[in-house]
Amino acid sequence: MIQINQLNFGYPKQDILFKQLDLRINNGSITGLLGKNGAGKSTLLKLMSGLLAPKGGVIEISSYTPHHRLPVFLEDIFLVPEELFFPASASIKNYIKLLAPLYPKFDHAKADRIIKEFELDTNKQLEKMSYGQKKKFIIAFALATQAKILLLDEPSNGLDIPSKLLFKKVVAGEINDDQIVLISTHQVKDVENLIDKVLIVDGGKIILNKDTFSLGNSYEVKLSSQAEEHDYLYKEVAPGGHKILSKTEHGSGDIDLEILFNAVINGVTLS
Amino acid sequence: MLHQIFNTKRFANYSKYSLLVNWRKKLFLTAGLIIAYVFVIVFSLKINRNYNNWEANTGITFIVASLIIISSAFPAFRKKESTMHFLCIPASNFEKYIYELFSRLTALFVFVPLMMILVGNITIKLHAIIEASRHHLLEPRYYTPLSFDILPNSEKGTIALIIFSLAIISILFAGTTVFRKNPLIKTLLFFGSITGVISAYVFYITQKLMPQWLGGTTGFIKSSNLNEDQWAYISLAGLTIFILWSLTYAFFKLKEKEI
Repeated sequence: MIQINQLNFGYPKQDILFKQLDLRINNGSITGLLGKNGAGKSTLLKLMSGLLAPKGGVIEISSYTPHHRLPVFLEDIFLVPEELFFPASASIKNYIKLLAPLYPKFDHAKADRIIKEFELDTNKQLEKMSYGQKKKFIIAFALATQAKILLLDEPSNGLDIPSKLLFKKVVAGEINDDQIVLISTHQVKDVENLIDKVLIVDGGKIILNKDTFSLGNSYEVKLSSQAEEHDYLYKEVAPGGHKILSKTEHGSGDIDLEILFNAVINGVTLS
Repeated sequence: MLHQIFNTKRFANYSKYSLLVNWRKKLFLTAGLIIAYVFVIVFSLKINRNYNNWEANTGITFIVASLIIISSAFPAFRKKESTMHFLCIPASNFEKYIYELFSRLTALFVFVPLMMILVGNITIKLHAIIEASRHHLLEPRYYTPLSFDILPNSEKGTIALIIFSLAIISILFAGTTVFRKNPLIKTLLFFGSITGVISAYVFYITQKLMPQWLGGTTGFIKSSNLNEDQWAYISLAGLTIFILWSLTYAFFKLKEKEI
């Protein structure tokens, strides 16, 4: 479980990024962390993984304080950062052989399966791979560690369209019931139909923390050529008319995350 | 809790990863340095014709290698991406620290002397091939680092040299946890500036308040109640405390490291 209470954080010589931020994420969820550029999504993941220390408040992950960076904590959390790093001359095979023993729950069969699915050559040196291939490998490695908490920072950046679909399929298919997957992205479409919970961070606070199914039941998005006719919460221009977000009592369970995000960022409050 | 500070199996896994993950790069770099060094010696022999103490520059090589090896500790800290990777590896801060410290010391006191033996003996063999007519002039005929005596004659001098060297090693090691880019230059500049300022201040005080000290170290020692040996022991004790402080400081810098 991730529990954050009254978190304050800011980089030196910059404005405060998080003010009294509270957050709780229970085990067994794939959560999308959405926000505008500079809202602090990556910083929040770095705070959770112990790479940064909060200026105030408490972060507890599986009852450990991240910044202490105890091995028992690091074995059970894996951060896939946006800027990847691999040792210069390591191949996939070599990397797994040497790093996997540090993750006690590492599942070699799972790693092989995902690597095969991503069509990666295990003998190829990582530094000679494209950014997208490196990204696919680190996602495969992260899933194979079976860490309780997986933090994925912009995981779909650099992936081509088929790989984006494959990424969703692999993540949905390979995670365990008690894992938390927190996916930070500004490309909302890339996590649609994958996440079961949505967090939106803006202005130093979490401004939305809801499960997607209940949002899909309570709100709907329709395309209309005559926006004025509807009692809507939010509308925006779309090809063929307007996309309109409105309340409903008989939602389908699905929700257009992009328009939902835009609505919330523009001040619409969802009950 | 002790298990979270040090665990033999985890430390072995971490050491194996750190040592072997870039083995190709390390191997090529070492081989390249050996070949380059052999050629530099062989061609300097060809130019200088200095056959009797050609190995004398190994002392300088050792000092340069020491500075480079120690100041390249915590290589991950040179880049933000590698720092993130390093800090997230599931090993304790203590294990990461111990690995860095002991791998550098091992490289310095085991690997570098072995490389010097190798370089020395390859040089002798290569010289025999390309300068056969003059090879009988080359001394020594077999090379060991011990054939080049860098240690002082007295036991006290040796102890002083070792402690002084360890002080330099420890401050450079601490510097690698503080400075992201060029830790060798920055540590030497930073530490040199502090030492310079303190020395200048002490000299100023001496001039104004303690004219009896003006005879330099000898005058200072004569004016005190302690003899030369006692002052030497106090200085070495001071240096030992400095070494311990530097090493402790490096550990806490690692522990508190953020990106």
